[in-house]
Amino acid sequence: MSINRRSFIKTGAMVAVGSTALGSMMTAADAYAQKMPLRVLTQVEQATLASLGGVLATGAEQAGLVHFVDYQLSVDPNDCMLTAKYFQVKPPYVDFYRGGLSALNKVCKKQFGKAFNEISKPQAEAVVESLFDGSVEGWQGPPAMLFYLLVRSDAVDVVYGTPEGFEKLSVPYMAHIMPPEGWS
Amino acid sequence: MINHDKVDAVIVGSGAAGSVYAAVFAEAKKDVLVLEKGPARKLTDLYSSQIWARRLKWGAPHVHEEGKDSIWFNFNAGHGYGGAAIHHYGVWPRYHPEDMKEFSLYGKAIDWPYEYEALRPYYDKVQEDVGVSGDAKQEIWRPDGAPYPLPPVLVSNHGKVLSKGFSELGMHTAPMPMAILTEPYKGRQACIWDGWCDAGCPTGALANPLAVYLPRATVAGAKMQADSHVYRVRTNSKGDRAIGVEYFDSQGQAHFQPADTVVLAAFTVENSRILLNSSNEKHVEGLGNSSGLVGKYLMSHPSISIFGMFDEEMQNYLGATGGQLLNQDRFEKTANGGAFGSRQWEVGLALKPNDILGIAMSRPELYGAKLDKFMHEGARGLGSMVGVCEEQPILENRIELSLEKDKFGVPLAKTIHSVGPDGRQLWQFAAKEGVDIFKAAGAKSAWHSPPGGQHLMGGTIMGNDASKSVTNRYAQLHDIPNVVIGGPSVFPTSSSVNSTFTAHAVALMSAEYLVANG
Repeated sequence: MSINRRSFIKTGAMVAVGSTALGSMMTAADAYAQKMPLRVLTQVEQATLASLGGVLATGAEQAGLVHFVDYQLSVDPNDCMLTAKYFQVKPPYVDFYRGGLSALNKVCKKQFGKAFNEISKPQAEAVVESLFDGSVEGWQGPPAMLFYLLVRSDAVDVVYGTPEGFEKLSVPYMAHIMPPEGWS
Repeated sequence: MINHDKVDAVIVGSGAAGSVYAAVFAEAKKDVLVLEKGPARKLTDLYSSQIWARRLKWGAPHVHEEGKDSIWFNFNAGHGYGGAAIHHYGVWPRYHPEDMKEFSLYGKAIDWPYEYEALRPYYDKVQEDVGVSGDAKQEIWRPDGAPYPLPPVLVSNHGKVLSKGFSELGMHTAPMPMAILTEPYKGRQACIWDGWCDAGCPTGALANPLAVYLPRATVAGAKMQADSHVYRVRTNSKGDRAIGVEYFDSQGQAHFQPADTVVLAAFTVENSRILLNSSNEKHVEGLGNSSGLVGKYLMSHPSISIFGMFDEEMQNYLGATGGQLLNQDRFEKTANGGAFGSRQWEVGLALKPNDILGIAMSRPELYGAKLDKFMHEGARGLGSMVGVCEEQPILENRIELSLEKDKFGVPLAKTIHSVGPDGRQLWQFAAKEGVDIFKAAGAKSAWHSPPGGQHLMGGTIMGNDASKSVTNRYAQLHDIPNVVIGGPSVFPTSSSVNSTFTAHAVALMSAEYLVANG
């Protein structure tokens, strides 16, 4: 068996997305940096998810959260690598995300007259905490706490679940086989 | 519909049970075809990543869950060669003798159709096949059995620190019995304790189906076929014998695969779904369902995670996902106050930063800067263990057909599941005891997760009375003996031990019987 054990990788981020160009693959962070077009999410959804993810896990936006989620929402549920799968969310998972992001903006517009990505940091933190503890008022979407948990998990994936993320925490990655840079 | 040439045995599912049937049948010179709903997969496809690990889990067709308590179907089930066992953690304690005769001994639950001594030789044989590691002397609760073929697993500082907490409370720990190689064994490499079990072990150190039984099966001539969605068992006109299975390929083309023997080893929910979807004029309520019990007695293990922050460098990245140490001091059925049932602790689970068992999810309320601070502290000092509790077989916990259909037009499965009063009490006892253990071990802070669940059993339970069970002692449908059920769906009780070892042993007992009896 030819397996590269304990390869402590130093290369680019392993949270990656499929590029729209010629079927080649790129990392989610690269896709974010290069402003690659999205497959599923709208511009409003993109802005909301990026902002929410950034509040939940520092650096999630730059790590390519939106492109990561967007790509995963575009594939077959069996191939999807979002935590939504584990929580028995009914496919297509985009319905869950779309409903949650829309509900979030409606709550913010009602409370603050602005979308989530336009409110202040203290306001955003208050909203996030109300999602987690269920006290959010006027929420009309998927269960608020579940929405919080799943977007937080996505943000944690791109920030802490990669070889770079491990390295930031001084956790040895110790891969048997490094994940491919692309998703398929 | 495309008709294929008949085979001796068609096996639906390539996981723990399916792989054992495939190996035993093929080595007995039978013509074997394994149909797997998911993709073909090799050991070299198992990437070390908690994100990529999710491709090994179920995604579709959707299983709609109802009731108070999730069975976490997608997380527990598998997708592709190896089934759920491709991502199992290799925690392999045995059922105890009393687990299999709870009605006789306590007037609770349901007796198995045989006692532990009947299954013991198959546990012994399987552990020799796969190379189970452990320390039988230290494992004071262990039922009778052959010595472990391999020495016990690594105990890192994580395990050492937590074991002090058990000692302080007068409790005992022993190395976890694991289907993970501690030394090279039968051509497979030893584990290097990097904690990627959940992502699938590509070295073959953990005895997943791709490492042990499926290679044996294919070397002996069994054929594997991926992307084959079996939805129905077809019977003869009299309805007393199965003649094969119907399936869709990934393009939606229907096929009929004739076979002398049909083994449904498609895991707990799918086994019932296929039987219920196989209704015909002779079996109006579904195949094998004259008792009305197909889909009934669905069980999971109520479980709870304990976390604590320690000053010590815990080395929590080392080890196996399933832990390092075992405690079964509360295994006696009546050792938990008024709650009937057993409990066990799996101690010192290898941790990764992300995913549902990872560091971040242990404190789900934290976000932003506080989360980042916790992640850095947790990477050094977080300890964890999981308490696994027994769930009683309850008739109302069940698998049914949904009114919704999958992409092929086949009714989906729906589950209804609520943990009973005994299981709920065991949860509470475990939560309190676990936090006490962590405090006794010196944790600066200790807490427990919300109640959860793991492992899936029941739905097609076996028994000697055809009016009270779905299969006989050899896992053959009472109604149609050439349909055999593989996997933990035949377990009449859940115990509180992880189910994969027992699934192997029960399948081996059945497979050898079927070979010996034509």
